[in-house]
Amino acid sequence: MTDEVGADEDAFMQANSRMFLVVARGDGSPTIYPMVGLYRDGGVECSTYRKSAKVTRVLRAPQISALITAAEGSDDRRVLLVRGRAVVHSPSTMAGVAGGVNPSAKEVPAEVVARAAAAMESQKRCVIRLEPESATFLHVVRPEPEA
Amino acid sequence: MPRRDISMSPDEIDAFLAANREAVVAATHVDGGTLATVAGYELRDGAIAARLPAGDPVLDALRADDRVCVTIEQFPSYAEIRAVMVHGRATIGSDAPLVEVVVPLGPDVVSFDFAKQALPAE
Repeated sequence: MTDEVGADEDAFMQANSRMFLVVARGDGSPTIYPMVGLYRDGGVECSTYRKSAKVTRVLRAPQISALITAAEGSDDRRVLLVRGRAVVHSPSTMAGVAGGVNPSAKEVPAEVVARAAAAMESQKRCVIRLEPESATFLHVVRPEPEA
Repeated sequence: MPRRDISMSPDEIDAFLAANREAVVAATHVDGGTLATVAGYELRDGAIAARLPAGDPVLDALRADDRVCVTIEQFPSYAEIRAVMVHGRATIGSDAPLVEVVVPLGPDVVSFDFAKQALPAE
């Protein structure tokens, strides 16, 4: 946990992996990538292909944000906005991470984790890490879930 | 081997947007970074009409720069992830407890349906 992030916000980041990465496109307009996030040492991470547009965009404009929510159907309706600076890591600096995919994330099938790990090993994938500068629970008006 | 096209057809996008009620709305912050929130929405006359509480920082950001991205996602399981990302310019309604942000469905729409990865090759 960093000084910029409170205990409740840090716990929410650890507990939830549904993440929307919000980055700037080349023309400065925003775009959103739904991702599976991984909490590690006070930051949130996700893995992707090194040649993907999102990596190019994050390297060009590293001041990004991530919206984190609980899984669909959860009773926890809070929404956390994490803002900060992103860093793209190569596998050599990411020891202990199974392909940048959270091995405990029930949502991700084992074969996907294995494929991501192999791609990470071959340098095709990398990890985008967001170092939080702020983390805020938002005041939102969400539709009630379908009965 | 070429990657399989897992994007949705225009009809599939319309049906997906009509069947959902919650979106992520993103904007560019005045500090140059990004920000986003979650909002209810409805599909109306070829546009997404999202409702944000007055005073939401995303509204302030959109008043300064009307470029917006609205994303609707379903994640019942990894193999069934579907999402539509709509990029455009926002029209912001008058101040009220809930302020409407309207984004037309233009040409800059990205979609994917993971279930199409499991379909037999054409």
